[in-house]
Amino acid sequence: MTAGGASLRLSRTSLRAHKRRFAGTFTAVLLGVAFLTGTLVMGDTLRSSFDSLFAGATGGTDAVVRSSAVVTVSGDAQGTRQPLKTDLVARIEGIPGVAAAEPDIRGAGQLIGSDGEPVGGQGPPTVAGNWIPDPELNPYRLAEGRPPAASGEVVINRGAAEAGGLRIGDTTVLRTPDPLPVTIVGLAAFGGEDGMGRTTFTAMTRADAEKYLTPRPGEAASIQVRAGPGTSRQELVDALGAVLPDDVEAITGEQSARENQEMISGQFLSLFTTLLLVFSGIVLFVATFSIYNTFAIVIAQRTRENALLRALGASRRQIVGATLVEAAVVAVAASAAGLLAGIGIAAGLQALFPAIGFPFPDGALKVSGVSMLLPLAVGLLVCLGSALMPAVRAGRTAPLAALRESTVEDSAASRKRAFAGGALALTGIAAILTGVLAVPSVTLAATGAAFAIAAFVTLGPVAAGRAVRVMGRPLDRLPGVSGRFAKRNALRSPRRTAATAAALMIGVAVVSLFTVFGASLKATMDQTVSRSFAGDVAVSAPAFGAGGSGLSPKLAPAIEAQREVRTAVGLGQGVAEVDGVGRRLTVTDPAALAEAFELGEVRGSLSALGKTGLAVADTEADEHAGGPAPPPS
Amino acid sequence: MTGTVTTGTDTRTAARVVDAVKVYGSGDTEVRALDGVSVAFTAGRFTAIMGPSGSGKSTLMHCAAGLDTLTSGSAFIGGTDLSGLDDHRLTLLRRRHVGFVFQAFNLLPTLTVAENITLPMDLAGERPDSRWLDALIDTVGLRDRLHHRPSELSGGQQQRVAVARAFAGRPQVVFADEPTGNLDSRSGEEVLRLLAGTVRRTDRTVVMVTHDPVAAAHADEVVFLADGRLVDRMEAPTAERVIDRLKAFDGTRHGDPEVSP
Ligand SMILES: Nc1ncnc2c1ncn2[C@@H]1O[C@H](COP(=O)(O)OP(=O)(O)OP(=O)(O)O)[C@@H](O)[C@H]1O
Ligand SMILES: [Mg+2]
Repeated sequence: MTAGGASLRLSRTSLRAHKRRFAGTFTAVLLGVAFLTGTLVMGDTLRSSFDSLFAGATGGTDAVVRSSAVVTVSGDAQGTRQPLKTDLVARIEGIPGVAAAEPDIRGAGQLIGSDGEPVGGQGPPTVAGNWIPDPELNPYRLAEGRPPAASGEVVINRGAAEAGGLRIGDTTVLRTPDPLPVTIVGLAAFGGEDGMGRTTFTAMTRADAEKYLTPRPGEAASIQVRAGPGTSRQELVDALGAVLPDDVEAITGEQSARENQEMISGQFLSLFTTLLLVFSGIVLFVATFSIYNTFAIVIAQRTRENALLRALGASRRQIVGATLVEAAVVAVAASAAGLLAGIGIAAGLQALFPAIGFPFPDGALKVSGVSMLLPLAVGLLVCLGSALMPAVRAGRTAPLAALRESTVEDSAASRKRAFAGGALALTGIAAILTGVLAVPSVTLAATGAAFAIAAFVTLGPVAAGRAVRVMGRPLDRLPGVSGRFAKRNALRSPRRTAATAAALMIGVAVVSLFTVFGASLKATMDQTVSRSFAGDVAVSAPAFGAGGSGLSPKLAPAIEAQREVRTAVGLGQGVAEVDGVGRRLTVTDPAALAEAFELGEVRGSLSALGKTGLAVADTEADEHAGGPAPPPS
Repeated sequence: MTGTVTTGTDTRTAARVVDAVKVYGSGDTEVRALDGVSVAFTAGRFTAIMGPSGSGKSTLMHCAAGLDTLTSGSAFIGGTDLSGLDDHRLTLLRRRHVGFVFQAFNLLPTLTVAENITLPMDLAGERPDSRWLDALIDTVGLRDRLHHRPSELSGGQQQRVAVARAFAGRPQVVFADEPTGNLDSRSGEEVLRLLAGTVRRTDRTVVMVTHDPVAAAHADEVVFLADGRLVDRMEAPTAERVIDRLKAFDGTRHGDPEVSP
């Protein structure tokens, strides 16, 4: 038996003796690890099922030709590209090695379901496009009915049909965003599933698509290309690259599929994974307190044992080691259970998703090494990290403590503690005030908040004594001894009392964080609208970002034509690259806007903007100081 | 001096303190628990420390054993000066060269009897000498209890386990602070015979603090402490002589209510 073996044996026997105590720690770590594992496993599984889904659907497309200029804004990794001219299709077909080329015309298209409500509501993207006749190049397969042949005929994906209660032969409205009456002639599947995620897809004839989906006829989002026999995908891309104009690029079908897939899976993944990650983060955060508390108590109870060990020749390191091994054993056991529970969570979600209308392709859960090792490491780290302080304290036990009955908390340490806590609190408050009032900075304010929490945790043992004495006063007046004993017990170890209170404090802090966050968000939005809104009525439609239908630009003039309305102004959205950085823009008619909104002081003239002029907010102008900027593309 | 002390001034000394002073507290609350004590514990002998309550017996033992540090003066285990050692070296020294039997709470409740006995060697990462251990277990008569936990043993049995543990690593010296203090006279007698027998048969060294003249009579020599000073020594004590000495002592320290029976 080695010296390390002694530590091991001590922790093993101690664990056995304190089983019940560690139940809380075990549960806390288990939950945190479970959520983390669930998130990772579900992410991997979704990603891999999307992999096979996209591979199946887009396998026939060998290359995609698209505009190379892209404007990306935060939150939309794919970016926005300029459209291509459809006359490129003919040129591409002429290139040797090309078997077929089809334009992919895309636009917004929100279907109205049989109940009169938009299919999909505010959730998933609602896309409309042209039906690509070449079955190899079309990611959608016709599942029932026939392809659109005449204007007004559409094929929709089976998922959308189910969600909207639509059947072949039904006539409904497609908002492009201008309402377009359409007749459903066919239902399509994507890679064997009812759709690409929950995206609704409406396919029309190419003529209709060019007419209704793009600002100008003769434009397409991209061109799908199929290689002839004997031409590899890379050869095809190289051949295309040599011929295409500079502002147009060709990529392989795989790459295009990967990008699409990242967008789709990213959207769905981020919602669930963020939720679960936040949850596991909070659980693990609270776990650190629970673990710290448990070990602090266990070590206080074991003072005599540790002192005896020290007297008999256990080094500090052996005592610390034994305590940490104990923490590690709890961590490994709890994390292992957490891994299993996490896989269970992922399996549960897999079963749950189809129930909420999200096609989760069947298939085994994907359990990768990372999604096992990472949660294990996190669980271990959290456990060891929070047990470290109590362990070090255990190592400091004086051998003579075995021979004396009680330990006294020294006031020197608590004075030091009060001092450190006070300093932390002051730093925290100063940082919060500076971050909120002087230089608005979220980082500074958040750092301040972290300091404040640390201050409360540090001050806890000092404050606990006083708090118990004040709040415990009524207890003395209770008949019997229970009240007095309760008070004295709480006072006996202020540190233990404070650690228990701290775990609760964190819980309350988390709840208030979300409450305040939600309330502020709402208040901010209300304020922004009411501050600048001088109009009487706002009209809006639920839609998914730029991919949804939004409102027709024709709506504002139509509203304005009403007798009761003086001015109506439309607000649109777009993206532009400003100083090399993609930005989201709100676009409108500034002259009309000035009548509906309080714009404040206007430098220059809004009416003199013309077709290429641009008005910007003065804060923007200050930030990008300089003369008149060239118009955005 | 008689007995094993044969090599003049440089006798085989297992442990000793020189001009040991231990002061607790400061100012008004200052207590001089040891006030210039010099004493050597000869190897191979069983020495008892006696004296009134509060005379500094436990303090002397703790400082001599490296459990506590002296305010001034020095303490030696074998030839090693403890005042020159840091916490870690002191720990290693206790592990190798010192055995302990306390009045109570000697055993780790979570370990079995066998594990408790070999604990110091486990901590050192050494293999116990199994022949020595076997003999020891037979001497203390606990062979059938090896896999029990301390809570399943009587107080006397627990002290016997502690004695076995103290001798298991063959330390230079075993310190015992009132090892029979919590036992009835029969169990106490067993523990004392064990200590005395082990010293004589296997040439071990034991230093024992006790209040009990009968216990002291098992020792080869008694040293008397009073008010933190060494006041007397007695070779080959008997219970009667020790009681007489303590009575005389009582006379000189007129009216101290704390003097032991
Ligand atoms: N940690 C301490 N702090 C302050 N004073 C102490 C401390 N330990 C012991 N003393 C004092 O030192 C003196 C000697 O104490 P010690 O424990 O050595 O006495 P003792 O001879 O072992 O007594 P007893 O026979 O009652 O066990 C006593 O006056 C005691 O009050
Ligand atoms: Mg004592």
